[in-house]
Amino acid sequence: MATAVKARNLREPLDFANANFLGLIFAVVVLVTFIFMPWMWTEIKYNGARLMSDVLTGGSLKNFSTWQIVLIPLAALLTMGFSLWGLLTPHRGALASILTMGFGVLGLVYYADLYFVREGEVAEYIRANIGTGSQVVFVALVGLVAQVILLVPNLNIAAQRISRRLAALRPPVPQKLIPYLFLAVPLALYLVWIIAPTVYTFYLSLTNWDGVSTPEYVGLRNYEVLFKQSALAEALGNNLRWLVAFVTVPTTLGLGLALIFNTDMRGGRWYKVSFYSPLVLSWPVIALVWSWVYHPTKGLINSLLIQGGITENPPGWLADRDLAIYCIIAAATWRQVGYVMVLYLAGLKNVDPTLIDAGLVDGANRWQLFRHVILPLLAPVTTIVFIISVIDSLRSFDLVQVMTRGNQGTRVLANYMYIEAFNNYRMGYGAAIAVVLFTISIIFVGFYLWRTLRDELEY
Amino acid sequence: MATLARTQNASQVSGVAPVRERFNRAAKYILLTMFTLTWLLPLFATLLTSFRTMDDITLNGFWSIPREFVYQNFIEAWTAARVRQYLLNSFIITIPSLLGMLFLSSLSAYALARFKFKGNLLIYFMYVAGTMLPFQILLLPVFRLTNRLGLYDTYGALILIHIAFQLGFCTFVMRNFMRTVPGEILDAARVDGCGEFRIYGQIMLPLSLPSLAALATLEFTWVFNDFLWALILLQSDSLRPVTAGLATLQGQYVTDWPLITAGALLATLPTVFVFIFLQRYFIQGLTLGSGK
Repeated sequence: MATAVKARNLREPLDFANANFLGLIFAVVVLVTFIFMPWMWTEIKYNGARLMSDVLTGGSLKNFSTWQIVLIPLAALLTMGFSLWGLLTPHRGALASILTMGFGVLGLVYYADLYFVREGEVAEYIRANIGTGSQVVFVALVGLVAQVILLVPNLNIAAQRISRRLAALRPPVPQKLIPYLFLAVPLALYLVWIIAPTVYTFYLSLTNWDGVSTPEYVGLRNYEVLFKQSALAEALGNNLRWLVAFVTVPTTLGLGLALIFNTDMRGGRWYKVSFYSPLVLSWPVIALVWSWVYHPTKGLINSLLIQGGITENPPGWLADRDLAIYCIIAAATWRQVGYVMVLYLAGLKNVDPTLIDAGLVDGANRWQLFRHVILPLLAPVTTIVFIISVIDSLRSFDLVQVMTRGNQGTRVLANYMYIEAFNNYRMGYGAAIAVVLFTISIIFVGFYLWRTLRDELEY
Repeated sequence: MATLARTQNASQVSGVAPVRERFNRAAKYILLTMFTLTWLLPLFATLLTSFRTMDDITLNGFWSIPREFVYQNFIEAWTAARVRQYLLNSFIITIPSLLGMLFLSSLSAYALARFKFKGNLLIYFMYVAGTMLPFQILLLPVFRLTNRLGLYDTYGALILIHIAFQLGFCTFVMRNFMRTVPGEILDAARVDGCGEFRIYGQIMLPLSLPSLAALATLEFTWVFNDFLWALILLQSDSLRPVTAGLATLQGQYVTDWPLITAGALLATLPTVFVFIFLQRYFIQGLTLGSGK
């Protein structure tokens, strides 16, 4: 009997794909539970992630956890990484499996600390009020450690057998169903969080919802009120200014810079980096940077004007009703130029140099070359740039929100909607503004989608 | 590739005076350098301000030689103004969002790229259309939904909406990438009796790593820099990511510009690091979506 087992071992190699796959699942369970389930008490509000953040930074709940809670997401992330690594490099599967077990132990340290080391009232309170999330994580971590049994050769082979037999038992998935299985989860999420809300906003715009009570149907009243407001005209005008600025300035400047930097010039990389570095800054940071630049007395511009003796009475920029919106748009343009430049640089890389040579042979000068060869070749990029500029200008919100909060005549649609809905609790009215915004953008998006559809059908 | 270089070569061949050529080039460099420096001036101003004191700026004006360089602004922004906490929150939100959106979008991209089935094109267009949506149209229903699910004022609410919203763009990019993978590789695996899920996990995903890396880099900066959703779905200050935190900070320290700029600089550090070390992927990512 024993020799038979041994002989089988020689024939069947150990396989850790099962173990690694289980490890991956457990890690996902740990992470999801940590974020979405109550770690203490019963409300999702008191999830593990929040308790961890609070204990690390001295937040409001810091007494309801211990710093060892950090070990749990850490273990989950490491397990994820190593089990994926094990799955993709099967010959190292065993090592990955052992490591993930180690991370399981790492996560369990939190529980060991809580139940065996920590004493006193606080610890007792935590133990008494532990939530479902921490229990689920405990089970998953134990499962992670329990994989150790798969290291035993006989058990490993037995597990392989079982999984193979299970696979054989399972009725074969009809070929037709497979794509839907892949799509099920992402599509469900997308439908619930993106598509359904889009439709629902149309309904909300016909109600008087205030954010708390149940929405009541009021017909088109929100729209009637909205179209009489001068605020709407102001917001639309500002969005239009933004749009015009965005499709003209960054496009030409970005294209010009791309044409310059497309040559193999010395230090070109540094110039390029300079122009696209604003892209990594978040909008609130850009808003703060430019608010400081525009500061009426101490800012970069005005102190230059005053100290340089150019004028005693410089404009107030953001404090000036006539200038404020243009100042904000300028700040937005500053960031956008780099983006457009990157897109055009990529487009220029795809331009076939033989076409340019052909143009040169035909005796075209630089301008003719640009106008009749390069520009037509860049047409697809230009379309993309145009669409992006339009969408970005309609979406604009962050800069206005941080720089002026929509005061000084700088209201844009997005910002107007936010203030009506979340500051004045007129959510139905806010929804109506959102619908107006949506209707405007659908004109441009529809054009782009139609284009993509055409390409797709040709393909 | 290089149009200007080519025309320069051409002019050299036709015999233009090299002195003029050199002068032109020098002039071009000088002009370009000046323009670039002006372009970066706001950033220099921010950096300089963060190391000064407000008293110094008020007394001597912005365009003066700083009396002393101090780093207290950074320490105060980090602790008292709680940039430390905001940054931690940003990471807690960004990392799971990234993992989720890359995994889920690769699943749906695989289905859309590799199978012919009813509704394929329709679903694909739904994703593409979603990327173009002004997200203001989603704000109120999503706000209502998170309230109903008890997710309001949790990290989970933000993570879910980020995953869902970026799913469209990620699927679009991944699907177009996966279509370029030659079908023979997959067919060979299929003949060997490989299950579809195995083909996806062990063949398609490793082959898609370049586009995954580019997407991850780009999406990291996008999710990390999000401001609007954090404003809508969170209430507690202790949960705010660094973008929303900065707005709070500005409200608290209205006139203390050195501190505000120091906070803003600290807030950008993670994305700057990503940019420095993963620049190639970042640029690739930016052009991926428009590459078609």
